[in-house]
Amino acid sequence: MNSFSGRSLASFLLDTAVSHPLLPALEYGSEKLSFGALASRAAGVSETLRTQGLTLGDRVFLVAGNSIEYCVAFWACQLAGGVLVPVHPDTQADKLAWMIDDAAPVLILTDARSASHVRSAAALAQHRPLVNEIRTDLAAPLPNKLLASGEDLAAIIYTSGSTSTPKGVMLSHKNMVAAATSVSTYLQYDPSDRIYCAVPFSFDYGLHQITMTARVGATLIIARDFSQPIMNLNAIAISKATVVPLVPSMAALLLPFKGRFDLGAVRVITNTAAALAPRLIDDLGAFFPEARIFSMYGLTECHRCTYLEPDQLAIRKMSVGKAIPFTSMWVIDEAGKRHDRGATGELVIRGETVMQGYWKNPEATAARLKKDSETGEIVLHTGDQVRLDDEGYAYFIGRQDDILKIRGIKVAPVSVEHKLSFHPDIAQVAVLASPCSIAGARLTAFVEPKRASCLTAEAVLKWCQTRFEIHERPSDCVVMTALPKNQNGKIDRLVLAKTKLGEPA
Amino acid sequence: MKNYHAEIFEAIEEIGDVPAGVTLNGDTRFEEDLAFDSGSFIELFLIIEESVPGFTLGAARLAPEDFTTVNLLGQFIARRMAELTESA
Repeated sequence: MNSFSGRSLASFLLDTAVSHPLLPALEYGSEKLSFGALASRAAGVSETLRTQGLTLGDRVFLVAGNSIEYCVAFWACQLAGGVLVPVHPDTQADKLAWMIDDAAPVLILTDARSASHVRSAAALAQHRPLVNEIRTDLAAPLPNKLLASGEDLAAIIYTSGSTSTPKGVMLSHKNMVAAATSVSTYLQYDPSDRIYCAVPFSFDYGLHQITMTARVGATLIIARDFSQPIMNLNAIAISKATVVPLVPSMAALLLPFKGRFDLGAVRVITNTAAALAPRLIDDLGAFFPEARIFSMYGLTECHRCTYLEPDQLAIRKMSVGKAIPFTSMWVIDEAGKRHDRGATGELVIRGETVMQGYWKNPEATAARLKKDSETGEIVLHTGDQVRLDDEGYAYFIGRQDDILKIRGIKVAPVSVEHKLSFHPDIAQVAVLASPCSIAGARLTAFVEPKRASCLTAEAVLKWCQTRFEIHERPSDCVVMTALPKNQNGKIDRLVLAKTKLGEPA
Repeated sequence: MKNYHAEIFEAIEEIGDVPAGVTLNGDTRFEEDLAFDSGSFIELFLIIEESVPGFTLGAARLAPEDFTTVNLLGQFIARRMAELTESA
């Protein structure tokens, strides 16, 4: 197994800036920046951060939309030895204030669009950091020595906290270097790649596009967001992007425009955050005719657990694949026995991608990070139920906490979602459970119909009656024009739960 | 030059209820006044492609500012129609 223990994340940028200073690093609309210029600007901002008192291990919040400024600020923080806390600019003020008090940053960096919101949120916190807009007009020579080493913290990423208080996932430089190296290796990123990123940089899936492109010298084409999918699609075509990271909700939005744009340059489509429905995989394949589709699965605590080689997609469409390079995985069954194939249980991940713990939360850390009984190494108990087939390929079943018993039989709502996704008129679906005194639990299906379909709740329930086992059948169905999404493009289940309870979302 | 307001208003009404207090006119803003999201924009274009014979989105450089108000969208459709007619 590789060791990334000595390396500081910023070495990715400095190595490429020194060896290939003229290679294009970033594009944002008509703005372009080479690796040499990016590193020089980041060094300039880093010097300012140091003069403002930032020292090794100090937290720096970065609350901004995707932009060149964001990337400059990210690298500046890494060069200065700071611990970056990326936060989505639409985060509600009270939640942002809670994070400020929890992480106690010395500084919040933001952009012009978010500055007013950030200052209002910061005023609600007890802790009082400086709030500055990101500057990119500074430049400085590249540093000869990096302050942080592999064991130092590089970032704290707060989990979305859709069902509980957010937890700050502590990632060391070693963790982030290992994750970026692993993922860019199996996706075969190289300097000729042009990666189009509309995924928010505050989401580790988006953030690692910054690290991976710097590692290999590829170009990052930055999209501010995915609010106008037609613009995104047009930009993918015109920019001749070769790699497009997606989440399922983005993929579903693109499909009505099949065949309208020349997407022949796209060689790789990646998906994570939630499984692609089988039909969506076929549709995406037709949409991006030259692309290989990578189904991936992970959690912030180790960035990525598994990926499926595209040539396996036809054979095992619902699998999320095998452990990413430089890591290993197994499941622990109900009897506490470890298996690397032919079993179902809690997924465990071993490798240098595994987080350092949750910030100021030793109890939650102890529940996830445990000593491996065989090697004594610290491994990540993911809390996810996974089935491994006889060849060791993983199939995600659900969060351990989500699995319930209906009429005495175990049911994972996500498996019901997969079955519903085969309905010809359903574009997207989410299944939520609620307590039931008779059956133990009851399921409600929230469905987003395809455009121009006249789908009714009754029709969905009737369709399930003839196809699903009795314990898998939803008791209710709610048809919605569009399912609510959170900042990372995932279906917002908290809003749906409130909808079900009749509370205002 | 045709402004295409009628087709755009029809499409907006087909997508959903116009928020109370908003009157559709050339200055109506899609995001701020009508609370359009990513799905609404897709609906809008698919409906307009059906209602304006010959109109399709193409690989021309699309600028987000063309899709901010009814007036600007109408102008975009007119320019695109002129391009399509020329190339036909």
